[in-house]
Parts: sequence; structure tokens; C-alpha cells
Amino acid sequence: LTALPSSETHLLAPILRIAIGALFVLAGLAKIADPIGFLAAIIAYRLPLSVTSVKLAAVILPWLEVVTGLTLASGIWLDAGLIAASALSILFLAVASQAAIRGLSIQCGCFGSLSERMPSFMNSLPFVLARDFALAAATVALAWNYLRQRGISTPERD
Amino acid sequence: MMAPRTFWRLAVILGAAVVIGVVYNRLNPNGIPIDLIIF
Repeated sequence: LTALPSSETHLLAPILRIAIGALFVLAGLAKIADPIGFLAAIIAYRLPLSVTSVKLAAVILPWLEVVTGLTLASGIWLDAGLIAASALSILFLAVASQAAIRGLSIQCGCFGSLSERMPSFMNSLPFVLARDFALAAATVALAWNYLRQRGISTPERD
Repeated sequence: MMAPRTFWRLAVILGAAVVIGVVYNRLNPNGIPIDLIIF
């Protein structure tokens, strides 16, 4: 985004931000609808976490996605929302990458019960990695662009 | 350096997700059983 002329960035950035926000809300709600399925998906990643930590992650992460998605889509508290979205996207990319490196056969779990209705290639690890990388790049670019232009929460502009 | 307002907003986003998630999970009959007394 930073490489684009400012007129195009002004048009592209809000569209991308709202689309990513809607994607976060959709992914969060799909996970909330099937909590046990999402817990099973997290367990399959075989992260070095205790059982309680994994359960708490399965309970909290979908709502974090929904709240973050709402800030992105609505434009309210964008500074914090974009930082949270970037952190979440980087986390998703890191978790998917470690699964790929370890050769784990996983179901993404990214869209909860909706994943079953998607074409099978969309749940394959290469596609998930590419999607997570694109998402991380887009959210970091949006956050960088926004914070560079506005400063991190300047009182006179909020 | 993150401004204090941004930091507190991030804390509110995380806190809201924790509170809503734990309460909703507690009320949801299909929720995840968490073996912690406080939850």
C-alpha cells in the first residue's frame, strides 16, 4: 500500500480494511458456532501448550477475532484494531507455518464449521499458508499506513 | 513507542474478548468444559 499513489491508497485502504474486518467477523462467528470443532482443530496443531491454555484459546480467540473485525469494519478505535488484527494474522501465519515445517496433516479450522462447505483445496496447507501470508501482509501494511499517517492515537485527531 | 490511549484500547479489546468468550462459553450448553475454578 505504501508503494501506491496516495489517491489510490485512499480508495483501496478503506475497502481492504472493511473486507478484512468482515472476514475476521465471519471467521470468528463460524468458530463460535462450533466450539468443540475449533478446539479439536487447535489440538491438531500440537502446540506446546497446556490443555487448559488450549481450551482458553479456543474460548477467547474467536471473540477476539469478532471484536477486532468489528473495529476494522466500523473504523472505531482503528489504531488498536489494526495492531490487534496484525498480531492475530502473524499468529495465524506462525501457527500454520510450524504445522507445515513439522509435516502435520491438519484441518485449518480457520472458518470453523464453514470450512466443510468450502472446496477442499481451500483447506489445504499451501493454500492456508498463502492466505495467511496475504492476510498478514495486508493487515501489517494497513496498520503501518494508518499509524504513519495519523501517528499512534494522537488526541487531536481521534 | 505505543501511545497510552492505544495501549488501553488494545487492553479493552482483549478484555472484552476474554469476558464475552468466558461468559458465553459458560452459558452455552455446547461450550468447552474448562477445569479452572474461576471459570
